[in-house]
Amino acid sequence: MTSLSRRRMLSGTAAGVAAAFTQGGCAVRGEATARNPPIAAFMELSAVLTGLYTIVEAPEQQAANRDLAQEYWRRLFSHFPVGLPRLVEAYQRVNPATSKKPPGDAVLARLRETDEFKRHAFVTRQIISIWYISQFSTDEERPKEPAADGGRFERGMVWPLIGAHPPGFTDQPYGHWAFKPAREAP
Amino acid sequence: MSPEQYDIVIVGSGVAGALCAAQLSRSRKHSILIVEAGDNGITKAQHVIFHRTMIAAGGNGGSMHAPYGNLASRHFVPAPENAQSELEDQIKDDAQGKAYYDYDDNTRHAFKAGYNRIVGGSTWSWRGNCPRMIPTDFRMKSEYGVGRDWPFGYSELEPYYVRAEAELGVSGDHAEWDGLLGARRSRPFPMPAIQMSYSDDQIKPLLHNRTVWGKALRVLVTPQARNSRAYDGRPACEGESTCIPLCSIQAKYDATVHLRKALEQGAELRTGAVVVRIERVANGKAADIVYRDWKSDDPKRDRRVRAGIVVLAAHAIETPRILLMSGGLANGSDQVGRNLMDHVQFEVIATFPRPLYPFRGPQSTIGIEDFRDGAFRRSHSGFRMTIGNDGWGRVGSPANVIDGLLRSGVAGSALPRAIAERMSRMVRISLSTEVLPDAENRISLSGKLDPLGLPRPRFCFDLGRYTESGVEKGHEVAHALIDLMDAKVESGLQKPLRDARNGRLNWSTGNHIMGTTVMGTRSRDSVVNPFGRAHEVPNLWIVGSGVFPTGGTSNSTLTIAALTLRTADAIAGELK
Repeated sequence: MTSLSRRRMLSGTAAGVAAAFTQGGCAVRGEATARNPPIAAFMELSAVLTGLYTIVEAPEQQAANRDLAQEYWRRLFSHFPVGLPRLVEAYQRVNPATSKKPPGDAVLARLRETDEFKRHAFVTRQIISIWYISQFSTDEERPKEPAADGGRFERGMVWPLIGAHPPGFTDQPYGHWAFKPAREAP
Repeated sequence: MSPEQYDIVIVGSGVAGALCAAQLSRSRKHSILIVEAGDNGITKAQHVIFHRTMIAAGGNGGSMHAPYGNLASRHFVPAPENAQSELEDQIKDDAQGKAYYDYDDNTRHAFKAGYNRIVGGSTWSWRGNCPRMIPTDFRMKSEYGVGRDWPFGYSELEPYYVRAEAELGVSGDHAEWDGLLGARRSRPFPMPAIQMSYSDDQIKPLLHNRTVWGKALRVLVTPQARNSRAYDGRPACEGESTCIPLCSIQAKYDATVHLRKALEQGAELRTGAVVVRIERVANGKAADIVYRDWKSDDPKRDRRVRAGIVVLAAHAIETPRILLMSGGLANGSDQVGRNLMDHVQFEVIATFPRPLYPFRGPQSTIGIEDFRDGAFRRSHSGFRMTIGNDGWGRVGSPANVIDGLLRSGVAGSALPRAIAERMSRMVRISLSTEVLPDAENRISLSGKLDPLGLPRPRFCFDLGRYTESGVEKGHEVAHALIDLMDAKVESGLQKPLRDARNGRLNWSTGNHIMGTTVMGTRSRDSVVNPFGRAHEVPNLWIVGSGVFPTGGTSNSTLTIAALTLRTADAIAGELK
């Protein structure tokens, strides 16, 4: 363990930052692997990229989102074993645990300046895609190839955002489509 | 050894075959075998499995084949899964061994319509819209000097429409549709109309009774084979919004409804059986149906079953293909495979001024019928218009929208706001036009073979000026409707009417394959008589949209069902 990662972990603990911001911090430094994924950092990165800050901010959704993140990491990592960890590392560099900022556009702006972001821009779009619609593309050169399955279609975050249900999944009775959805678009 | 014998063998288990089998098995007097190339279940469990496959493929991403990708049958009896792409792309697919359709050198357009080669046929993945044809659709030649006349008129088919609506379970508003465009209705629909969507309620007041192109618009709820209450053992629609490619709860009709009834009444179903040809035997009083069983250890070995009556119900590509593989059976007129038709479609997508909250409920619930008929049909096609509840439909999936926003630089906290802003205001107008019967639009047998060693279908197809003009007019009307809504056409994702590089019309398909074994009174220019019986082969009958002399603008399934009931009555009369 390097002194940096050690400091990051200790500082996270000492600062009492929410668990989601520190879990997996030890594992992130160096080569991230599918066996020991940096889920907390991946969730933070995902929140910054998608603008869906509830991924890490909503306490009532933490556990569910962590399960979701583990699945998404697993599926993305199998296609982007280099780009995905590099992006997480870049994120941790621009938003270190010692001076952790909540996910936001300021963090995103710093992230966009990194070489990793520029080199793996396609991967960043797939991270966004998988959270919104639980699908992603695997090959930038072959855009017409069928999308890869994120495994949690019904959890796609685009649907509640637009006041809809995931296609193929409703929990409402006949005729519910006649009414304005309970949760309106922002 | 003589082959197994049945009184009736029905080839194909889609709506035509299944409904015919259910009708003819009611008496339980006759041995009936349904022969089907596909091999999938017809239970609720099968619906659940297809639903899971669909979700893994990304939901209703626009492909009618998405839920069926894991079926073994697709490797042995391929369906035209890439038919919606342009001709040059299909030819490239063919070079890579990924195409089912082959093309004649003289073809001008791709034939974009596809279908399912599975138990239950294409009703697994239809939208469920069930408008009737209108009286002038049956007399296009005498009324407008184009196309052909049917051998009978609307009034002859009307009682069968009533029965078909009961069999499929159609929800509709009798008051709205009775007498519309001259189409009298003798009975109400079996169920009340499907509930309009919130989006419909916002849009209808802006269009209804307004005048466009000289017509006072009427915005009507589309009749649809979708339950507005529990009906025939199936639940009311829950608005899953995946009508195409699958209604997992079967609130929307599919042909397994009638397959189950037929099997309960004693009919048999043989799956994995791909018909190779039909041979007349016993001085023409019987016929052998020769087929290959791709599930067997020897899938290319010919097997046979004998029937007193053969009913071809394999849809409008496979049915003529079988006849052509049978040495031109019933083809003294040289009309088998000819007069191929589809409904040519175009979509205009726009952004509404206020949220409409699409992606809820059936994919489309309202439409405009006023442009289906008029003196203009002398020079260009009529068209139906539907207004979608499914965002930008095939053109603008959520994936495309998100990708487009990202490419335009929207990021971070602005992204969810932009997505909600854009997707909640999506509106789609679709138009669907008729293609006239043309003997040069045809399928024949290709020299290229399918996995079972059988000739693939080969197409020669040209939309024709009549249809292209209809699409152009429909495009104008769609834009006028968008203006009335004070909506803005989505310039980024909207396909132009014509491709700027080659001037080619950017059209899509209704997947309503028609013609190829047209009916008529004269054996010299039609394949079957007005009851669906082959002119030249008395114990051979054809059901399905292949017998349509013209296609009108109405979705074809209800008319398929009505004609099938009429043919089934004729066969039953024959058997008495």
